Amino acid sequence: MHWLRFAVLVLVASVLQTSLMGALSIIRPDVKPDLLLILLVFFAVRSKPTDAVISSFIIGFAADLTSPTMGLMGPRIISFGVFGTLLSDLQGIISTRRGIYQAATIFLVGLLTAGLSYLLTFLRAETAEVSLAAQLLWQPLYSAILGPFLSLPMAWWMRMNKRGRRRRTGRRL
Amino acid sequence: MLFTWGMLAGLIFLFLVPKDLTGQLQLAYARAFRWPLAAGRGLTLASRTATPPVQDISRKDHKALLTAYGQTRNELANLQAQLQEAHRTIEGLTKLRDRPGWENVPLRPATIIAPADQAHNELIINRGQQDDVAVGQFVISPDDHAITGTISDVSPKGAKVRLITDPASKIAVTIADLNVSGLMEGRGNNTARIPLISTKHKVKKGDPVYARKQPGLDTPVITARVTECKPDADSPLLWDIKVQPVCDVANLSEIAVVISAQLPQ
Repeated sequence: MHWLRFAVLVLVASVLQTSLMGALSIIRPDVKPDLLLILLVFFAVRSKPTDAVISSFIIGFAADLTSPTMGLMGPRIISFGVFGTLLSDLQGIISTRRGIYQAATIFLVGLLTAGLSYLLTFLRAETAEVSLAAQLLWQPLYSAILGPFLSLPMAWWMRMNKRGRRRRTGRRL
Repeated sequence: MLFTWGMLAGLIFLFLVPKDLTGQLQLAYARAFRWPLAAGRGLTLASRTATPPVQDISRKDHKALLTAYGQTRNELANLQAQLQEAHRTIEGLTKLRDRPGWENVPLRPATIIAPADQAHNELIINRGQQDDVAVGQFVISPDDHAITGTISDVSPKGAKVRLITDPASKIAVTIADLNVSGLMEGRGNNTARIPLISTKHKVKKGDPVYARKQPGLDTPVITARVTECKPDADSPLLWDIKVQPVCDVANLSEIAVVISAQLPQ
C-alpha cells in the first residue's frame, strides 16, 4: 500500500467533496455523490485486510472532518470502519470486478454507513430534520452510479492494477 | 487489534471529545484548504447561475470580438476578479448603510468558504478573532438585509456561522407588530419554530419575524417569515408556529458580521 499516494488521494477527495460535488447535485443540494464512500469501498475490496481496516477508519475520519453531522465527529469514523472491515473480510466471497457488482456494493455500503451514522448521531444529540431519503437512498445510488467509473483512475494512482501485477509475475522462458 | 483501536478512537471522538475541539479541528481544515474550497464553491455557484441569451451578431463582429477577448483576458483576469470582489463588498455594505438605523452599525464583510456540515445548517467564513469576530455576534446577508445566523465558533482567522435553522440555534425574536416575543429554535431542513406563543396573539402566515434589538444593533432586522401557524396539538392555548428564513442560504456567497452585537451566553 502506497500510503503517501493514499493520503494525497484522501485529501483531494475530501476537498473535492466539500467544494465541487455541489455542482453535481441533482434535485436537491444534498443529493450528490460521496467520493469518500467510493474510496472506502475501493480500498476495502482491493487492499490487504490490515491496510483495509486502517484505510477505512482514516477515510471515516476525513469524512467526519470535512462534513460532520450536527458538529460531531465519530459517527462516520465508526460506521466507515465497521463496514469497511466487514467488506474487506468478504473479499473472497464478493467479486467486485464487474461494474454492476461494484455499484451494488457501493450502494449497499452507503446505505448501511448512512444508517449507522444517523443512529450514532442520535445517541449523542437530537438529530436535525434531514432528508432520510436523500441520505439513505439517493446519495448512495448516485455514488453507486459514479463509483465504477472512478475505480480505474484510482487503481492507476494507487498502482493497484492487478493486470499489471500479472505481467510482472509472468513466467520466464 | 487494529479494528479495536479504530473503534476506540471513533468512540472517543463521539462521546468524549468536546464539540469545541472538533469545531477547532474543522476550522483548521477549512483554514488550511481555504483557497481550493473557496474556488470550488465559486465554481459550484457559477454552475447554478443561468447564462443570459446571446444576441445574434455578424461573423465579422464575432471574429473581432474573439480576437480582442483573447488579447486582453490574460492581462485583465486577475485584476478584474479582485476589483469585482472589492466592488461587491462595498456595494453590499453600502446598500445596508443606506437604510435608516444602519449608518453606525459596525459590519465586517466575510466570504463563505464552505458549508460546515452535511445538512447545511452551519457555514465556515474567512473572518476570525483577528477581525474582531466573536461568538454570539449576528450574521447578516447584505443582499437580503436579513439575519441568517450567529457566530458559534471562532479561531484566529476563521469562524463558524450557526444558521437560524440549526437545531442548536435559539434567537430571541418578535413577530410582526405584535407585542409578543419568543425564542426561535432551529429545526433543520431549512425551518425553525417559535414555541410558547399564546393563541390570544393574532399570528398569521406570512408575518415577518424580527430579531430582538441587541447592543450595537438598534434596528429590528427581519430574519424569517411565518409559514405555518396552527394551535399546538399538545397545548391548544399555544400556537405551533413554523418559520422559514428569508435568505436563500444555498446560494449565499457573501455575508457581513455585526461586530458589536453579542447574544448573552
